[in-house]
Amino acid sequence: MTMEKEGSEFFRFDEQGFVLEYRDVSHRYWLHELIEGKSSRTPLQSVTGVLRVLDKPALLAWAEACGAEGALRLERMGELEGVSFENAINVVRMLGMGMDAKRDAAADRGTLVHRVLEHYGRTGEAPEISDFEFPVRGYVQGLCSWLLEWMPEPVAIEQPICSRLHNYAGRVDLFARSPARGRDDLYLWDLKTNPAGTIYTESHLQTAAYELAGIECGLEPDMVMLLAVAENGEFQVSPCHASGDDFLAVLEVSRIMRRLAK
Amino acid sequence: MGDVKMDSNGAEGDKPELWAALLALQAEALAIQRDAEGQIQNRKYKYATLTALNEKMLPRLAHYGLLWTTKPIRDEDGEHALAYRMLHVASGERETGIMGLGVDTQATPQMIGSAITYMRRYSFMAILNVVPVETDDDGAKVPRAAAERKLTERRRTNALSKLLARFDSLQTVELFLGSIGVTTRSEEWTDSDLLKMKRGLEKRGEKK
Repeated sequence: MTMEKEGSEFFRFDEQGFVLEYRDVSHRYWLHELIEGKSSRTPLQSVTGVLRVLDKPALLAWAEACGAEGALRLERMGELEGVSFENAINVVRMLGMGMDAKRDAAADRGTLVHRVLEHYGRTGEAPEISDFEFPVRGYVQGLCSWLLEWMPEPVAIEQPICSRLHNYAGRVDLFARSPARGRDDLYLWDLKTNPAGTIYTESHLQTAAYELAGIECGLEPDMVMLLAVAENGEFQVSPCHASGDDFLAVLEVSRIMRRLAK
Repeated sequence: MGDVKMDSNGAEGDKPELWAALLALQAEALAIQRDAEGQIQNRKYKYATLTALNEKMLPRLAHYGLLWTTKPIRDEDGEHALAYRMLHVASGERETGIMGLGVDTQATPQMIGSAITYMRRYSFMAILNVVPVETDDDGAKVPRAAAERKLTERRRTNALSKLLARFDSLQTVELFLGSIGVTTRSEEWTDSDLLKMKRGLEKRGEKK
């Protein structure tokens, strides 16, 4: 059951005896429960926040490429005339040609594609492809291809879950069954969108965290899957290769870093 | 400008993947805007810059798995020339050629650079059969390829019947159309869309 109050959504887990609060604006979670007759509200770490502790070398290379591309484009447009080498990156950032702008565009694209999946999950309506411009259209094509191949029947969509035991929370894109594939397994799906449709290593840890929390929330998946849709309309699927223990190790490191930073 | 020399790239039948990708690209009938103005003596003219070409065409080439490269070289006679290559990355099938720049061996680097840019634009437009247009804000001025003409009602009905026979529900038909980038609004279907449907169904058949 879901309730909304002052920008927060509340998800009741009656069997487990707690309520999970999610605030979309800040992407933060709180656990509400009764402890010895008194209500408590405990902040929870988000899974994506935990994973920020990991080094992502590919991200560095990407950021470098974004900056270089932005500078080159501006140079060709004549916008960098008289700008010193040291200051070029500031102009790139100011004119929205650097990493931040690309990251924001990627986030918007990701949100849009997730909404398409959510809408399909809630209504069963296939997306109208001409409603989307390139390059988002390519990602939606990839999503349609996957939907056609897996024909998922949703059990829960955009479902917040949490681990009371380990104090973290996250939001699962889709719990679904795919009877069209001849099995009745419950699949946990996490959707990724990036130009090449790559499934990055840390994504496995993310879904392992969801699996662990899902068990505590009464949504134990038989299979944990990653889906990446690409700009060229293709998609890639992979089972999760990480375990709950793998994620808990990262969670511990994240807490150590937070403690040391204080 | 200079001569065009085609490399020996094999017979056309040897490159089915490359031709299919180029066919799909051409079916989009993309129009390139003339975005810059030049002048020869008293005559002013508009042309499509390399930037306009790249911005419009490169994402579509990438969509179909095509890589376009050019390289300034000296041809067999020692003249400045531009070698180009259109590569279908997945299959390795390619179309290559050499276009002479038409500048003499005493030309300054600036003259050579200008000729290279000129030939990069024209080789690209020639190989892709791209036509620059005056403006894209008036649909009537944009040439519409035959492939983009709307289907007759009879052909639309036939196509829809075939799809419904192939898939078990309207929902799966719509997902199939989405997966190949074709609108579910059948009144907007074109020959290009029919081609995409045919190729999409073939692909699904191959998977099974």
